[in-house]
Amino acid sequence: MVNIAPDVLSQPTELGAVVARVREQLASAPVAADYRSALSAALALPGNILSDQPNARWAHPILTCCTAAGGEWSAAIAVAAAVEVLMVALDLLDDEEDGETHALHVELGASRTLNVTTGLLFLTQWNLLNSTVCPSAASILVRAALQACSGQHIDLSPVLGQELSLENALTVTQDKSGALVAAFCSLGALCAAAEQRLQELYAHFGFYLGMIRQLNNDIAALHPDATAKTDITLGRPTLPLTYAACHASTGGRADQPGLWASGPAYLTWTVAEVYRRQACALIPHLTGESTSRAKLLQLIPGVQQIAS
Amino acid sequence: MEMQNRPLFGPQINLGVIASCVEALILDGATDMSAEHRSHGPISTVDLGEHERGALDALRRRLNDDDSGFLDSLVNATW
Repeated sequence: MVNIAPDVLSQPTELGAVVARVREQLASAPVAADYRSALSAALALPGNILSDQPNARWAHPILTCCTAAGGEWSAAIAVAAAVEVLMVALDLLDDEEDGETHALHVELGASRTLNVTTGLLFLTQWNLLNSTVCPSAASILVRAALQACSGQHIDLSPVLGQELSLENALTVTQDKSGALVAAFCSLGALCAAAEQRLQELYAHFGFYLGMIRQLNNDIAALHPDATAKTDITLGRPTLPLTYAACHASTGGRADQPGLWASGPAYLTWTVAEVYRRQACALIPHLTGESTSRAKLLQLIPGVQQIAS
Repeated sequence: MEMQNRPLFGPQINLGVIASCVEALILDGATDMSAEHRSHGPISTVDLGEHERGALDALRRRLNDDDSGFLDSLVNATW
């Protein structure tokens, strides 16, 4: 899944509203106290929405897109809270699938951790059911989540037997990451009561954001110091690793020194740069208001490099 | 790979041509993407869109300017 860099909401009140919504929905869920504590512990893992320093990395684009599309950020709080909960669940599942150990797993073990992630998925729906934009929001989110799971399935499948191509690698990235952030930005526009065509444009914008962030993450996993990243050891079909594997299977290029600062990283950077430029070009079609345009621009990772 | 029922966003990226151009930049130090290159022979960039050309040009400038730290700054921002 996408690993978005830590970010914070521009207004503490917005972050506080998302946190309050998550707490409220968690408190109203019909579960036993012990299970509620376990759900809360997952949501309080470092950086997550109920942690001491929540980065609200998923709520941020939703609320920004909502206001840019002409809405009030308060209209998107329920959806932003639902997405924050969903992404905690997907992150936990990602860790379990990759066999990565984390604090919750150590405390609860694999079985109960999986049960907590299941509960978080339903808590997401619980959140949406109690929002004013359900079922439209649920439809958008579930569709994107299914697409992400589909991409994850391919990502987790043995490399042998898969058709190795750059196009397929990029399709997996689109499913895993592009589709999710596309949904988030589309949801922001939905909460602003934007017309369908504008919602679709926001989905395009989010798609570019998701692709850029995932490709950046794939590049980061190539760095010699990226010992915590498992892409290489698990043989994930990311774009750079697929590029490297394609070359190896066709005789390779002996003059490529390695994965970092060579063809795989440069190709991936270039593709991310294409998406960056597409995202920037789309902004004037999303809003005519200069402050909103600036805020949308700030959502694009590494956009400052375009000007240099 | 099954390609149905997936929403497509924006023009599709011409990965093959971009990969050839990136290789020409790295291996040949290419400055003209449409020229014939030692490693790849002729590369046709005629099908590339504006943003693809812009991205390749940005990469070319960074490689030619020996801006070797540009990937590191990306990593630092991502971790």
